[in-house]
Amino acid sequence: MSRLRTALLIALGAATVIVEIVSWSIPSLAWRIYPSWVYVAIITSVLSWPRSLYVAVGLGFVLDLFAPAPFGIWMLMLALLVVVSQWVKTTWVKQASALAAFAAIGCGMMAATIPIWFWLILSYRSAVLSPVIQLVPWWSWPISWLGLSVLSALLIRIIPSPYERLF
Amino acid sequence: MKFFRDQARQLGLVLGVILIAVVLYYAGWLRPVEHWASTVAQPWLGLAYATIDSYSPLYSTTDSTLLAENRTLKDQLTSVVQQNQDLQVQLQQYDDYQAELKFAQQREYTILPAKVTTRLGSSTVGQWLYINRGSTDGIAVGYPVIYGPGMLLGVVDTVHESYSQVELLTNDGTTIQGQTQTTAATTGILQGQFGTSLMMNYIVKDQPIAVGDVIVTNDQDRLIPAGFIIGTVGQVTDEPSELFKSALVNPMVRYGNNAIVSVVLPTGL
Repeated sequence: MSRLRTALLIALGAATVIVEIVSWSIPSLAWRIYPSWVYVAIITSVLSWPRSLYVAVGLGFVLDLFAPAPFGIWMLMLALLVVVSQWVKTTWVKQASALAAFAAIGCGMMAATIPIWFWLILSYRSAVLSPVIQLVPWWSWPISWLGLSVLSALLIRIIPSPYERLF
Repeated sequence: MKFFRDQARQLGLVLGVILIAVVLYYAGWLRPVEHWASTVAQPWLGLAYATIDSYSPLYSTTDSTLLAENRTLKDQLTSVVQQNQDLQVQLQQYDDYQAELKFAQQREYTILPAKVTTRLGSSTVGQWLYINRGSTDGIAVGYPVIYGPGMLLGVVDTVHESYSQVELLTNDGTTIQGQTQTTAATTGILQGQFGTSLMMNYIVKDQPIAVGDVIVTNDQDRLIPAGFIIGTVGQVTDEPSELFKSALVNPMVRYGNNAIVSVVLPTGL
């Protein structure tokens, strides 16, 4: 990978962290849009396995430092996203198409919500979370999965991958 | 599952790193890292919030501005709560007076509204209310004072120029004539006792009276018209050795501070 690509990836990661953190305080975006998911979906294509997993965990670590959730949730979420995406694409969809990318990333994003749901269920009645959860209808989750998976798949198709075996 | 078997080493490594990071975080060892990350990110976050500010001013408002606004809102809230309390009192007074006025209009009495300013005394020595109406308003000793829809509260016993003292019916020594509010009225003489209730004495043995009967005035007192509610019978005593029956009467009047009462003037009597 060239230095330029590395620098671009780091800059995009830093921007993702900022946008992700800012999105938490915007009611219309919080719990609906996850910029870090899209970024991690892209790095699963741009970086080789398991490097993409390490970068995802690193990004999760940085987000955990700022997140109101218990420390470790973001690392687990992003690790699950990468692992499940990688598992699906190496086991089930071994073809380089936008649809395959969509399927793999979509499964990864569904898996990534497991830590959030676990946390939400445990702290459902907390004073901080209850009003937030009430603002977010149940159907926002599948819409998030769908929208972010489609967006990620399109970006993956647009951004050239140095690893032909991936998509 | 082949994938997980093949990648067990990497997955185990990542899981271990995550666990170690969590332990270190809750042990407090990552605080310097957290502080450093916060310091580095703060200018960028500020820039992002300022950008969003063009859509919503919430994100770039300073803490001091928010605190000042919060303080102002708290002051306003305190003021509004006080206003609401005053309005609730006024509403209660309005309801009181409306009930009294309706009663007076039905019976064609003339009433003068008055505000209870003070309540003095105790159950042992007696209780008196002070109302903000006096001789200049035409108040005189002996005028009945009612509350709500015709509930007799007491009788004016001292009149000053701008205020009067009202003795409650439940005071020891207060005497008034009354009867049951039934077709075959049972009469008796009510005397206040202990500042809490009245005892209806001199009830003829063959006249019916039962627990729950409503006792009203019966026009036998010169300035107190018939039909004012005194209370309800709580207990009837009928001793074979006594010539008369007696009944414990519990007053129905329940009024709060700042209550609006009405003095019944003799013009309609």
